[in-house]
Amino acid sequence: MESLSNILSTDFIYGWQVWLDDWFLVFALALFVIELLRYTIKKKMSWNLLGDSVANYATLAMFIVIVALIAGVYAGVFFYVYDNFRLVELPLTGWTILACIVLADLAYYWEHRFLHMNGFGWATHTVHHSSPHFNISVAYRHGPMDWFFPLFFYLPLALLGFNPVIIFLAEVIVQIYQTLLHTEAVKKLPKPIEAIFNTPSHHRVHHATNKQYLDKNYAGIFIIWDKMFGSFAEEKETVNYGVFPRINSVNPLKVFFSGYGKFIQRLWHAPSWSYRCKLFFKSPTWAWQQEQQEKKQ
Amino acid sequence: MSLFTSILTSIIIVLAVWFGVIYQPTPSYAKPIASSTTTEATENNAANESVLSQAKAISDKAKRSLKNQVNNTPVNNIAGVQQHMMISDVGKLWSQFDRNQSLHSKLKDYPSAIYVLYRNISKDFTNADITIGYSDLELKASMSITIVPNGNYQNVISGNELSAIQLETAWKKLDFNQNVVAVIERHQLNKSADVINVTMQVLYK
Ligand SMILES: [Zn+2]
Repeated sequence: MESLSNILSTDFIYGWQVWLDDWFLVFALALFVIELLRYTIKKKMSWNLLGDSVANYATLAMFIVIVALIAGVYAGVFFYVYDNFRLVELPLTGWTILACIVLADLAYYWEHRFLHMNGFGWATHTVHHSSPHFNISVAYRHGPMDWFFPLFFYLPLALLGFNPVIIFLAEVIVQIYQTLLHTEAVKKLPKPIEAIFNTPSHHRVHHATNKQYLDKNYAGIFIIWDKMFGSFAEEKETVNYGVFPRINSVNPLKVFFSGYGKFIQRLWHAPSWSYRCKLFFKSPTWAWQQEQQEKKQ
Repeated sequence: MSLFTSILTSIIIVLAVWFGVIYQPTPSYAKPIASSTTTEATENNAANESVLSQAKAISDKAKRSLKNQVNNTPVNNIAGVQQHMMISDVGKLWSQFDRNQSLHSKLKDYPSAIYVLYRNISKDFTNADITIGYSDLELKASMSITIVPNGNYQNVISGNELSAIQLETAWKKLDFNQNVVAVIERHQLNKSADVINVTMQVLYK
């Protein structure tokens, strides 16, 4: 416990973050190969699955290009807020890092829930959900604006006095944990783990189109947030993955830009300005229901 | 839970965790008495921001009463170069120090450390009277010296490979609410005159 109180240097923490970020991608690729072998043995391997996986890594490549362009500004905003507006200065200790991970996880919950609750956020997050498959490559399926929304949810941590290097480390840790959940290979983990932590089972529910599973299990690391805030569902019925409307494509460009394409299309064809506003602020389910009704008439 | 209660609960969780980290067990070189007073202060008050400043005031008072009980001034007198200048320009004084052959020639043996002393620091921490030199005990002939203020110095940053940028950003770690009497850096050297460790310490009034 003593060691958690030791003061760490920002270089040390930053080094950890970079190390984790780089090596985890290699590790995840290895896991993905194992998953592919598993699908082959189970005779579930298909051209669509392979094409979808390639598309997933292609969206990652496009996302990395965007991140490379904005990373400096993104980090700059955190340092600016931290340097000028922080309320206190928290020491760089293990305890601070642990607390920051917990709070970053809570921020992740709200950011994720936000992305599902309005058309503008959903237009980028739908990319991640549009795969009909569920494996670790899906975790890397990113939308073009996936970097933008976290900014607003993690920035308050800088205001509270967490050094930006700690915030970035916490973001990476939550992200890495989340990535590992994207698998069908792990059925259910021991009860106490399923009770406290987010698990592949809980996250499969999040990716489902089954009615009882819609808008559930937003958690990053701790599933307790969902249980507390009433957005939890247990995996019982077999999950169907994907989104409505179906995307039916493994073309990386189409996958990457589908969300904003659809969003702009909806805005263009909107019957009124109030409808346009609602497209921004109302949930994507609302827009879908409106269109279904229109079709019936 | 409704959306509103969920958000409210989240805010309460954030505040609870935040207070937890603010009053986390402090490292061994920080003063234990001061931190226990701080905890008492928070227990007696509801969780709001004014408590923070109140608790801080109490802890500062405790710190002040402890002051000068331990005199750990790292060096008594420094002989070297001195100038009133921008703190960010300290590099210029370093090159002046490096070129000062008459000073280096007065060394008895290999120097054990180089000290950088900052006094009369401006309120906004931009300029100060800066001295860079050796401990006068390590010099043969007596020469003009700068007396280092005595007191209980606190560690700000320490490490074996601190860059100039790290030292500059370390200034941000100082407690702006207390009067800073002096800041001192100790650049420890080995026999081949490489810096093996740098420590920055502060003396508050
Ligand atoms: Zn989602």
